[in-house]
Amino acid sequence: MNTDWKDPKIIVGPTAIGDYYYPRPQIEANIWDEIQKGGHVLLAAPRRVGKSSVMQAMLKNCPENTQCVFKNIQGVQSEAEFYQQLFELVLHCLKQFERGKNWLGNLFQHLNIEEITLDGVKFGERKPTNYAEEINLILQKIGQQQVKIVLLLDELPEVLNNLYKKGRREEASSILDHLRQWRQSPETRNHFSLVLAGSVGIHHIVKALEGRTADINDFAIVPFEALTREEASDYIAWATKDATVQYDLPMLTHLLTKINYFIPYFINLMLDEINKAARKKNHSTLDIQAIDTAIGMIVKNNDHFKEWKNRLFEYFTVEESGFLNETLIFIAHRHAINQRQLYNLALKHGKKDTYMELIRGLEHDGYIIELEGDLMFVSPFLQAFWKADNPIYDHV
Amino acid sequence: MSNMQQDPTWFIDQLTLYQAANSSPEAVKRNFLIRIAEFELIVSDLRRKKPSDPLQHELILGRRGSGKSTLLRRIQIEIDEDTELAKQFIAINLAEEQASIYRLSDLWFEVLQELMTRLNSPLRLRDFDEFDNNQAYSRYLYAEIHQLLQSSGKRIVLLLDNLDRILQNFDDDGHLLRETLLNYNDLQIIGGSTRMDEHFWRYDKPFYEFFRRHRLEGLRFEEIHQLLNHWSAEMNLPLLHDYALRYRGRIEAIRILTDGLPRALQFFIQVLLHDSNSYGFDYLRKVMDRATPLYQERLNNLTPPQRKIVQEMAFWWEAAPTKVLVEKCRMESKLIASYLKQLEQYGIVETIATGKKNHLYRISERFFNMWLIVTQGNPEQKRRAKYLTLFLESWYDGEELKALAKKHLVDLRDGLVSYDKGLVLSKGLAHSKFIGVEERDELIEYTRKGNFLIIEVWNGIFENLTEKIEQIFQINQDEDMTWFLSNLLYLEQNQLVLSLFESEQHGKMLRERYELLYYATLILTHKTEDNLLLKIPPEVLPTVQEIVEKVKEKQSFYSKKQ
Repeated sequence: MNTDWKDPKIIVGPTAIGDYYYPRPQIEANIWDEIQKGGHVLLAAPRRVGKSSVMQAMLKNCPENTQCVFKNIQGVQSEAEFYQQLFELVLHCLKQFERGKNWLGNLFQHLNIEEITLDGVKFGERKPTNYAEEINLILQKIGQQQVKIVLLLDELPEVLNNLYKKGRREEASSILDHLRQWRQSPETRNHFSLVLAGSVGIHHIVKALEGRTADINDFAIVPFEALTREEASDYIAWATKDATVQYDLPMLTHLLTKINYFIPYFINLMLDEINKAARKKNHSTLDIQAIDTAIGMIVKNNDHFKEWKNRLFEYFTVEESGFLNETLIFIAHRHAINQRQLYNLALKHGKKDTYMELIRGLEHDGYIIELEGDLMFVSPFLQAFWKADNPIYDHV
Repeated sequence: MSNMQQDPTWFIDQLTLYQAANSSPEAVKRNFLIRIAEFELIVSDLRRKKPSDPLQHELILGRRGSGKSTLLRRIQIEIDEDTELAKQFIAINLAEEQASIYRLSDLWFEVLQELMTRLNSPLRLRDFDEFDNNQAYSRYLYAEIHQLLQSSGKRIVLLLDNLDRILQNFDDDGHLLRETLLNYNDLQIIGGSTRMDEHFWRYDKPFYEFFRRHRLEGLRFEEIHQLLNHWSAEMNLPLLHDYALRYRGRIEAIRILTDGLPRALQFFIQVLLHDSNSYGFDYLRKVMDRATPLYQERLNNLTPPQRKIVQEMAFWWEAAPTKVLVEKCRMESKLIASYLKQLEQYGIVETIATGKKNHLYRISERFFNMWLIVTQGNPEQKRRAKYLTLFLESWYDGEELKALAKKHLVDLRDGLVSYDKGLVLSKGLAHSKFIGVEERDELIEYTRKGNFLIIEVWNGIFENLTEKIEQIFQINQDEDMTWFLSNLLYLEQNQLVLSLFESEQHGKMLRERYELLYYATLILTHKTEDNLLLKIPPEVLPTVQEIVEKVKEKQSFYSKKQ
């Protein structure tokens, strides 16, 4: 086995934590600012951009008299299960204050609690019958102390969406009602903050459930932007610091030109593919061709990209899919489309009254993202696929 | 008695015995010659992980028989035997138990049983009926796993072949599995899958882009060479030693037409050992016969209309639009569309997007496609497969070309070969990369005597070309004309070759016999409309591209010379 070869320090897919987390101090600071103001935060971004990593990293930077807990809750399947999970999370969070806090001991005793771990809470002979009510009670107690708890919940929108899809709309609505009630209670202001993230846009779900999004307007939206070009260069240097394959300036520039939208996940995919190929050949020196081959391999091996394209034609009418496909071809060739160009295409396809709804659908499904008014592909590889599939575009 | 005279199943029996003795870690390690790169990458990643580092979930994609299970087993052995890895990880490979797993709780139950045994920590588990629902039971089982891992200070590497099938049954459990994997950093999944199931790529599915992917491609020629020599030494089979080098064309034909599957290679060796005198297409036919039990069962599991579609699609060989299937199957297009959807779900058919509404469809496993042609096709379809095999062999077979060149030289010297035939064959052979300089000079010397067609074209003389070509066709009716057509292409006569392929008189025969050369000619003449590149079967596309590249390279060479 080639034990001398050093792979880049990357993780492809799961949450980057510990040494594998590339700090995003600005985003973390923005979230803390909102929490300090007594607010609640919504992290808005497509899947795979690193929301969970940032949330987990925040656990290490809790201010004094504040305790945080992170949990992915996407497996929750009912309203009751949600309250139970939330109840256990609140207790888990409080347990971290335990030392020297008599009121907490009394509370745990009152709740008949024997043991609290992240796996759950062990009760004595009597256990709560209504977790939502218990949460009310605990939050009131917290409101009387000089402490603050921050719950970082990942994938709540997914839970609501799953309930909605199963026809359990009331349960999803009830969760939203309870969360609003807890957020807006004057007693808990500055003592309790929620930070939510999810791959499914929460506004989309809340609108589907309630017909409006006013119920979540109190959340501060912290945008989750991609890395800047400088940050992306720094990220690559950081991830490949001890790696066998090194990137000099021309290679780095070429790589970044190819990626275009800099989120660590896509950079990692490229670094991984380049490293795999170099490892196979036992050849550590990089050239432009190796980078181009890597992007070609990713597109080739992602044969499911064609399914992304098929879906347009399956789910939309001929006219709608024609408009959406041309929009994506346009972006694939020119990297972005602005609002004027988009309107021009919409007119061409007779879609001037409905085009934004269609475009929002593409955003919601993870095809494209809006950045400063322009629309671009989320994935540089999906973009490369779309371009390869439609190599010539000169229709506008 | 020599090995070759024994029962034809001898090799497979021997190999099975060998692999069953197998399964001893030592034997697995000794026989692990391919998929090394994937193995090293995954294991080195495990090696450098500190307890607080995130675990990398891996997905190994490959067709049936491509070596996924062996790779998983090899990783398991490495973790078990390497002191440093064993300190940190416990490898659990649920090979046999997988059939009974259809809920997440089943998976955790099996993992927990194995873990209790490995850590020698028996637990008295609570009964299923003590829980409100299966979800709560699943959470409980994982909490027990987590506690055992916490107390042992280890993490699990869970090796799951057929991960796609497991996830397919999970439904809501998929969300809980992802939740668990993200909340507890103590279990890494390394899964195998025959296809990139929608669970791994759909934006609204829990495991969207969650795994790092490793695609096990078909074997390369060099890997086959290495494997044959290894088996030659291990099983005392001198015939296999350097066989790939001696019969490159034969190996390439089998490799390309069977998707480069290690399993198909075993069938080939079985045939080879039983009847080393077979030639060309005979090998392919016999390899296909060996695969019959496997594929017949797959075919039997389909309903009659599904079977009809699969067969017609296979006989069409190129990717087919629905229109062709409607015509061939004589079924309504709506019905065809619904069957295609089912067949795609079974992983038998794949859809190729064309960028327009009408997609193309083909049999996803190309070895299966070739098996259908060879075993179930009509004489014409079988003949097509035969010509394809012959073409691939002659395209790649240096050894046989050399032999042909030697024989041809003797024939030339002795005046045994007709004037025109000798001429063109000499020219073709002279261009072969397998012919040495001396042989080439000798060939040219002997053929210089004639004012033959290729040299005329080479010199820009095109008088009475049609008549001369007709004459050559007459003389060479049953001969391999690859060299002739290739040389015309090398001399930039793309349109001439295209006109031959499209001629009324010889077109059908030429297209049938030299299908890959025909594809190459279409590409060279930019006749790629109607999704030609998407229709060309993927197993032969690299060869077609190779031909195109070679022609371009030669054209550039000859144009410079002039």
